Amino acid sequence: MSIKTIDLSSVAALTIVTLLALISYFYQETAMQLIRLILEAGYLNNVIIYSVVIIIFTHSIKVKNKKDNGVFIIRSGFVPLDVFLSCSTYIAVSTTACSLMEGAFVQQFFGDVQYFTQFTNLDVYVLLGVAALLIWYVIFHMYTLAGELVFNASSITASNKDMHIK
Amino acid sequence: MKLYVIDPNNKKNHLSINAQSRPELISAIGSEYILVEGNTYHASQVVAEKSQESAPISAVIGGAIGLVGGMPGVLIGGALGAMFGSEADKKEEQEIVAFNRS
Repeated sequence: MSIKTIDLSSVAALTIVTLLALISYFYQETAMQLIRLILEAGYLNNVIIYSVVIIIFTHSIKVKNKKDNGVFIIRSGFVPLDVFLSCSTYIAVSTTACSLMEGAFVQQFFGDVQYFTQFTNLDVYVLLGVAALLIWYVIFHMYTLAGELVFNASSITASNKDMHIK
Repeated sequence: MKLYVIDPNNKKNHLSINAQSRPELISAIGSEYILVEGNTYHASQVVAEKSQESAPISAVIGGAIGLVGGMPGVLIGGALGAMFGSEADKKEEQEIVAFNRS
């Protein structure tokens, strides 16, 4: 019989998601008000923009210069241009997604402001889902890049057979 | 995917380079032999391993974003996040196998 080990990261993820679900169930009103504040004041968007700029710039200095590892969206070969274009793309995607999510969320769950007057309920829900997917995409990529930043790697250079024998 | 070599003290030395196969690694460095922290290794000694588990963090991100949809939103977001993360993990595992077989 094989010994089964507990995957701590999966257990932690399950616990966090369960806690979030319970919080949103028992404190739905407060959670909704808080989310509205976060979206309308632009806190989420600002946090994402600052994270994108800091992570991409730091990554380009610490990791990118050593060797390309294919995490940037745009790659022209000229590093400053790549950094600028990648930052711009991520910022454009997250800003648009946050604005769409704010509009769809306020219209669908509060109804006091109508952002999309010609859209049906289904359209607005789909909009909400797509906006959430875009935000997930940006945050997940930033997490991947940040993971590479904190991870300590040794520099590598060419050598020869004689050195190997030593 | 992270590449590493085992040094004489049995310690893993992760490399600041990425390649999809050993021939690509050799081509990128320009030699079959590489110098890492004062020790020379052959490209065949370079091994690939998983960089990070994507599924759990992806599920948490999905669940947090799903808060906009209430409790069902959190559960759906968490499940979708785990699915997307799991796909990313599978893709990385395939890349690791391909490198280690090259």
